[in-house]
Amino acid sequence: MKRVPRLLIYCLLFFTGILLQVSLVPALKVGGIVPNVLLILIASIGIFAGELTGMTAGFLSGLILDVLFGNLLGFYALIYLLIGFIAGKVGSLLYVEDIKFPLLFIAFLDCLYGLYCFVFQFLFQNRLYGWYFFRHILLPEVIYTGLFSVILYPVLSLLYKRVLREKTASELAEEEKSVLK
Amino acid sequence: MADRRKKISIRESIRIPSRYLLLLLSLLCILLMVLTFNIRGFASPFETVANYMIVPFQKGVSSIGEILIRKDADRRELEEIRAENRALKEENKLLQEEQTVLKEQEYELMELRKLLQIEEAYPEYEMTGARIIARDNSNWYHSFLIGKGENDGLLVDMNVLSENGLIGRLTAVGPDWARVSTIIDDNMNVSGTVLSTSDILMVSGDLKLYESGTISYGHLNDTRGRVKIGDKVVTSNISEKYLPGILIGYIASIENDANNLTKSGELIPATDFSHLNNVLVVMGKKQLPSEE
Repeated sequence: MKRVPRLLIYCLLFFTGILLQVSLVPALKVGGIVPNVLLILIASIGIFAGELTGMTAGFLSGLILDVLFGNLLGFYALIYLLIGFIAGKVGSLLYVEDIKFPLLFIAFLDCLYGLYCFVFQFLFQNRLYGWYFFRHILLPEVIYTGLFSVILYPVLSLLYKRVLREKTASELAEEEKSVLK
Repeated sequence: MADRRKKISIRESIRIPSRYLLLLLSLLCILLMVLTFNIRGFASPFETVANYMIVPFQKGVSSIGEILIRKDADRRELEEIRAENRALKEENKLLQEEQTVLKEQEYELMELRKLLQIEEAYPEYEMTGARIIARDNSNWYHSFLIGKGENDGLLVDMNVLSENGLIGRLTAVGPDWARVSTIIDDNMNVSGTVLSTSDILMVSGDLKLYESGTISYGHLNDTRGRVKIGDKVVTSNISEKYLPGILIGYIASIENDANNLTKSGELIPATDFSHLNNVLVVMGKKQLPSEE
């Protein structure tokens, strides 16, 4: 059986992610707050597949969001690029099976994302919301995104292990053996 | 073995180190931001590209649903036991489905009729209806996309209304889609007039007020204190981007500013922003002398 090209699966995955984010996620609104599903997707892929994949995925999906919704082209692309990179770097340094760490890490990345939006879109326009921003926007979003990744992260982890992971040399040798038999 | 190692080392050397790629892409992002900020219309080729991604947005979700339903029906046909019973059930289901479709259409008809009424309320403007196809994902902005664009004659800065009142204006237009920025967005400002006293005020969206469903206004110059709670506010004649006389909302509170000259407060928008499905786009822009 010929394997489906990995690139195609990635494209499909992120296209679905963006589609979900703009069409179905708003239905998950709780108290006016939506989880950032795309961020979970980019961070998870970054953790699994390394910074190069995470970065590219983040940059491209960010760019698509920019074209659709952003006021400045490159605004979302930049933050998702950074998120993909950080996730990939940290993921390759501290890869653990333990689920608590990635979830906290994703929440942290969402925090970063919120701060970035706040600083560049509100602070620069002299809108100093301060505590209000933390209590009513950032904190709920971070918590909701963190909780949501409890569901999404294991699914993505499974998908990656089964379909996307590059086989190691020993596994390839094993496979060759079984074919020869 | 040596050959293989050589191969790997070549591959490694061709690969761009990720930190350089990061730097490169970040600079590209910043460059794009600077360019879009300074050059008007820089983003338009990208918007054409996005057009090809919008069509799947519109059709993709519904067609996936259809495929799932069809598969389910196929499996049913394979089950031969109690075929007749099943057939009858199927028919019953179909009838019910038809009924829901009809109900849905009836609802749509009602909604469109309502829209028609507003069209009669603002007869001087030519309008076109459009459906919302995607919403902004973040908790920060309240913009959405509609399924009509340049091909239907839409232009940037055209006003968008609901059956009740003003929603916002178009801030980006692609071939078959357009982005609507709403007046509840944090950085949106509209110049308005209190209908009863003709006093000018400035309505601006406010991040803090999203939850309570209101928007704020300020610079109300009402020294005689005639403006009351509940007064209608419409778009003013001096607004740069908005056509005059469109209902924005009703005054909910009035407070004196620190300078004792102007007043500010909150406004309840006439449009229910959380339950929008269809919108109306006014097919004409405000005529202004060109800036050059």
